[in-house]
Amino acid sequence: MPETRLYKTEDINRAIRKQVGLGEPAPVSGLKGHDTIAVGMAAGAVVQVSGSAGDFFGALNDGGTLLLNGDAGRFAGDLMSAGELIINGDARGGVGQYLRGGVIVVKGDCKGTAGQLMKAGTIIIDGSAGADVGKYMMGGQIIVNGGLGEHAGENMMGGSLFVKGEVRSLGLNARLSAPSAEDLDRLRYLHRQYRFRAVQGDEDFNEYKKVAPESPRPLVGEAPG
Amino acid sequence: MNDKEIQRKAASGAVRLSSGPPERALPGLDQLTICPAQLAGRFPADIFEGVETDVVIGGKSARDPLALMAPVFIPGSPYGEVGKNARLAFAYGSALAGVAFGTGEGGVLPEEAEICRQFHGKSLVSWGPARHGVTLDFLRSGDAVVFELFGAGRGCTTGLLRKERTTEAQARLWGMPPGADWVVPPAHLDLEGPDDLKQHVNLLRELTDHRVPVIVKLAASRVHEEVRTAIDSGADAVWLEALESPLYGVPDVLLEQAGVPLMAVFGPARRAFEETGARERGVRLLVSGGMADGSDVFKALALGADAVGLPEAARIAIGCTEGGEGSCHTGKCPAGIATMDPRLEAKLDWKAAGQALANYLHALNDEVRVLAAAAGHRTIRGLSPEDLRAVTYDAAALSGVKLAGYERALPMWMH
Repeated sequence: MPETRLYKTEDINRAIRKQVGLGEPAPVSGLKGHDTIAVGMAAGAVVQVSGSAGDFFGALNDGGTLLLNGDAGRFAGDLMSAGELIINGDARGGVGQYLRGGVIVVKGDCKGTAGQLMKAGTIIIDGSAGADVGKYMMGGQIIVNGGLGEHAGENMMGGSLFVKGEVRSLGLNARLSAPSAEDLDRLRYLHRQYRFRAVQGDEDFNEYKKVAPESPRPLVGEAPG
Repeated sequence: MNDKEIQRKAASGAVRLSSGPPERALPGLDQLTICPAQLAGRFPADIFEGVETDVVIGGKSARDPLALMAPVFIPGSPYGEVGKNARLAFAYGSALAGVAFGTGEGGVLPEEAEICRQFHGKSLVSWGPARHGVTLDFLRSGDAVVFELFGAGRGCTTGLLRKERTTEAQARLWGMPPGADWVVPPAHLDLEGPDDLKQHVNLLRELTDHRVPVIVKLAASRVHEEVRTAIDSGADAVWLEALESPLYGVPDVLLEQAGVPLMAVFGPARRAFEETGARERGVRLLVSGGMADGSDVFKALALGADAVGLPEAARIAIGCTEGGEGSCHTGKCPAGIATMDPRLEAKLDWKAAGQALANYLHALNDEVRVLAAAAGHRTIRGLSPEDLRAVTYDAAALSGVKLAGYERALPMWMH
């Protein structure tokens, strides 16, 4: 792949598509904050990026395996439906918003608003996660191995938000409880897959708390249907 | 003062939900008249020599621009808000007429895709704030992507699609969990400021490999500023939904009071287009709300639009008998349109209804041709505000069109 800072997003994505179309991994090096890189990847695509990604990295991933060695901008993995997105760095806000499936792993911190209106899938944030995580969440799971900021799980209606660190404040309709044995088994399974930095021994799983919806119908009002 | 409404609120303590266009009197396009061509400027064109009414959207940026045979389209009605037969009628009728239909959020039915394949239909797929039913395949199936900036009801507060009102078929198409409420946010969660609009347009272009045009749809509000922002985003077209557009099952105060009427959108939109040179870059202006016949379409085009959305007229053409007055949001539509009840849906023969829609669109396009020829134009691209006169002071003030009798624009438009 060519030196990316000389290229536009359109050129880089075209080169990625060409490479994955040949059934080969697409390496991209020296990314300099380009937005909308590696979006809409299909099953079987493997994209390995180094550098800093801009906004919407890996959005609408539909089964690809995407690895970013560097930091991501906002909305990484937006509306992703399948596959895997690993960020070996920090992510700005909005990781995995509207997520429908697949796994997103952020090895560093995330600024906030992760997993808003997600319906399924898994988001793992190895560091801390900022404010407004899991707002309007309808399904799936978010695991935060650091702390959560304000309004965690605001108006969530389904799914689970697990946190190992401090929860600064809960949002409307969110309640804190202890994870079930089944929940902990799921966390152990994910730890085996993705190696949580915050877990050194099995006793560390006892520190997890679960944020879940108080009611499946938190909001007043009705949209047309 | 509406005594009955006060009494209703006093008894129920509830906000009233309504469907359809607003009921309050707004200055309509009938307050403008068309100037036949004579000596001043031009002579009438011979309609037998033909009048071009086709429109192309995305001609300068999309690999497959959207070509419409008439300057009209059918805005989207999400599956669930209308039933399957209504959706198929919109797809079939618009295909026969050579125009496009919108899907709204919630996906495309396999039968709609088949109609598009068989009859060369064209669909406008939606990228809305809830993203329900939005998948990669869905986005790539469209002939244009519409970035809908607002949620249900021209930017209403967050709402729920309650589980009692959704069906399993809808859940399957929308990719949603059946038996649960679905959240509808008022705005895109991944749009944090006006500059992000450009990011979304770029994202949609990348996801569709720059194949189809991207249209930004706005509720008519602060028209000049927002149209400029939409143009700056790099969109191929800006679609303004005026206050006269029907809404379905939203708070009555929103339906009646939120938005800017059609007559008032053209002046500021034209100014935004002129200031940015958007017209020269191939950007198109689409409008919808309150228009139903060829004269409305002619006037909208003369005022600066390139194509016109016909949401309410399309429902009436396929058999709606209520004009949005009552049952649209109850799921008990007697015409089988705004319902998911199989017994009611069966009342609508989608093929016949689609043919009726096509007939209506053909007649409407012929009206546009007749009026354009009478005004001395061989193509709708030549229409301008000079082809119109306002017959009321209000219309002249809102539109900037010359006032009949005064023969000039009002002084407020002279600078």
